Amino acid sequence: MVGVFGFAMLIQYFVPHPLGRVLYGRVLEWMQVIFAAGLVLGGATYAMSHLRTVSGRREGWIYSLLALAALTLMLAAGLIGGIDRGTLFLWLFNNLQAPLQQTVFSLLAFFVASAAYRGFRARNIDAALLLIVALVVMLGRIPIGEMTGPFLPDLARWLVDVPAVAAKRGILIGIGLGSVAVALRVMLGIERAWLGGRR
Amino acid sequence: MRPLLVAALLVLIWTSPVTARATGSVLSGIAVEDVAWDDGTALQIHWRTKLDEDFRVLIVREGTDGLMDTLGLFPANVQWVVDDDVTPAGTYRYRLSVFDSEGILVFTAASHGLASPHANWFHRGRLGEALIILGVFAMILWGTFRRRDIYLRPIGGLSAIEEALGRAVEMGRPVLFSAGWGAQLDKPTTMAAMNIFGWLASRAASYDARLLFPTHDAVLMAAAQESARESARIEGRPDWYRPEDIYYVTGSQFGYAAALDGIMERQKPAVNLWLGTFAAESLILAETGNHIGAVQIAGTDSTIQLAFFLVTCDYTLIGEEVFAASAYLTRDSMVLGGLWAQDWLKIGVAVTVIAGLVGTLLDWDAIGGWLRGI
Amino acid sequence: MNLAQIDRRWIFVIVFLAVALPLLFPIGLVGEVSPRTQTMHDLIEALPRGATVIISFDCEAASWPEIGPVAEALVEHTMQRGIRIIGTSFLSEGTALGFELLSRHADAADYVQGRDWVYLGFRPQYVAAILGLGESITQEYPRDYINQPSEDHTLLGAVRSYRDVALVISIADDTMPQYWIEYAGARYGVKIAAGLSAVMVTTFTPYLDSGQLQALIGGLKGAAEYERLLGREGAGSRGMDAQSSAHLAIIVLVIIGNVAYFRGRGRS
Repeated sequence: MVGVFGFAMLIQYFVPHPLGRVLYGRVLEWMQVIFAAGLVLGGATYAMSHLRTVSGRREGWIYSLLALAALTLMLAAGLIGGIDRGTLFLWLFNNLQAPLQQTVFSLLAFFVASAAYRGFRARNIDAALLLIVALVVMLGRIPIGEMTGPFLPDLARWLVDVPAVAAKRGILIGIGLGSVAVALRVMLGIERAWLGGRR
Repeated sequence: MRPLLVAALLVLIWTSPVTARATGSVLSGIAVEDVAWDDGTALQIHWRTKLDEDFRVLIVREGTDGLMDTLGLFPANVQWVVDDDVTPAGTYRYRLSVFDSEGILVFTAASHGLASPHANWFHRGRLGEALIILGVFAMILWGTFRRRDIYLRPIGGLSAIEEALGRAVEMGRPVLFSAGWGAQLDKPTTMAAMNIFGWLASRAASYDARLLFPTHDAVLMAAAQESARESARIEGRPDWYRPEDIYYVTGSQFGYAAALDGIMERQKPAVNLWLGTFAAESLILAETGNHIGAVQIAGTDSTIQLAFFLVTCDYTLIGEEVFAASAYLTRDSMVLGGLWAQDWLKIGVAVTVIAGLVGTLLDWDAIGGWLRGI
Repeated sequence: MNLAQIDRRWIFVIVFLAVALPLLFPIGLVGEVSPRTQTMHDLIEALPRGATVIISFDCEAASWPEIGPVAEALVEHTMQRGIRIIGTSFLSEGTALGFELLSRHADAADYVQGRDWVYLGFRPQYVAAILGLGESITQEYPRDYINQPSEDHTLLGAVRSYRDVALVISIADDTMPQYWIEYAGARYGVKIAAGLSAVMVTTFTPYLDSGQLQALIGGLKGAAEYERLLGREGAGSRGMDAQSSAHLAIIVLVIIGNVAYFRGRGRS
């Protein structure tokens, strides 16, 4: 099945005939249906998992209760009140969910600093070079760096646009070929470890 | 009212007796041809003229159903226009009317006969891509079926997985696996990560190590559960499989990161495996893992996140090493053969890049043009 | 106190102060407008009045403090130019944020929903949705975000697919513009631009160089520069102070870490 659909989707890219497009359109519709069914499955799994924790009074059950309450509240707000401007759903989203998400994201600033403090040590020539480049880029990309003249920002831009992109392209070429090889092996059934087992 | 006026104007032009008020025929060789190698939804109308861009050509299409449609006004000197709003089953005729710079109609004529677009089975514009794909496929298949037992340089991160599993069993703590918030089953990186997961589940089942896989995608969850169940069955340990250990958390990126942080803080896994497609959540996960003292092995195709993993994890697989992992772990001669072919293809890409570079530097249009053509 | 093994909570306190203080006491640091931001501005400036762009809010709520100012600047400029907007999103959280932002700007610019702008809402499976938009917008989205039939909108009567769209702008904090480039750009030939979080800029530089991406602006710096081109100060400009001091704090921390490391090595 994987092979048939994989090759069919590949071949249709080269077939301009309407029949190819119809087939492609149908597969895309199926993908959306599978995804939507997946959302239902995900929601059910989520609810079941937290219900088990609450009913068994396992460690942290109070958080599971909170998670279930949040799920119910958002679902009810969206289904009953709608999602237009001025609704409870949008209010909850803007004033609860978004700030909560942003708080977790903002942890990055703290973690970057602590990781940089631990990791950026000039232990050898390579690490020293990495350290200098990091300092130049950080300084060159903020207005204070620009105040020192054009050299630092230009150097920072060059470092980001040339050596960094060159390295990235090298990695991407490897990834591209690796992707094709894995896709081909999976489509031909040569590699089946993803279905379970050691091969 | 306005549509009526437009219709009246179209009829007027269509039936106008005006022909070549300017000296001689201002437009000649009016022809309509099917656009080749397409899906049958385009016709090309072309003409010859010596007029400059001050003169405009109004093109009107008439279908077999009698419906008339204006394609628009085009500068006379472009000499061709593609109408890509036709259907393969239809037949069409076109009338071209030339207006001078003051908007006075100076010429009108219709195309001879009826034209019909044809749908084709191959897109010739994609021939280059087709040949490259066939070449790459042929090379990989050749390598795969020749079953080469090649030498693989040691990859620290992969050798460490088995050792880390042993550590988890000794400590009586679970192993945490994540394919990243960017993982989806239609991505080859996710498939590569799932290959490792399948192998890992087998090993974990034989060692009786607990394996946790919280996912952000329900389809991925279902596939992972199936994979773990099958691995347990093959290892003769069906009792090892616990569906509640492979579960959906949330589709939200930082909700997912927060959930995994919570799992790490509460369950204190001995080993964290971050293998797949990660985005900004990578550092939040890996830094928390570092904080709880877990052995961390990461591997991703997300080049940006590599830097974060390199700083915070014990081992990091870079890009294609993730794809090579199953060859490394299973030592399957067919998979190894594919890896051998990949190396040769990489040499081929490098040679092409160098040829392009030399061609550009020496201004050899032939090489540059050929590469651009592909 | 061993600086090399400092408790990470001290680092967190320093970073918190470095971010919070400039937000409370602004300095007003805004750099020069980079050529990249200028290109994006010129691209929108060159679109004819009445043209249609698709703006896709492909971002999560978490990155909104960074990506929001980029979106604000681009939407404001687009509406100033009298360009019609079709909004969509392939990430559920970006959907509500995009709708709120477009509604607010539409009110200010007297844009009429259905005629001047339409918000299609969320679609899962972005590859399928991007390709579907190339075939028929109304078929892919039979109803819009607020559940109105798409066919009822005059804008969608005139704009049927990418063929009638001048530009697609993906406001993204991840790799979504890549899918727009690969599926909408390569397959249907529509022009693509991107407003990105700063960390994604290097990922998309090769696409910019190859012409597959027409323009991009990145992060708070890009937003601050764009605000400067629009002649106003917004969240991007304000954020530059905090970003600058946070960068400086990290630079100082890295230097302290190295000094402590070398002192410790010298002793041992």
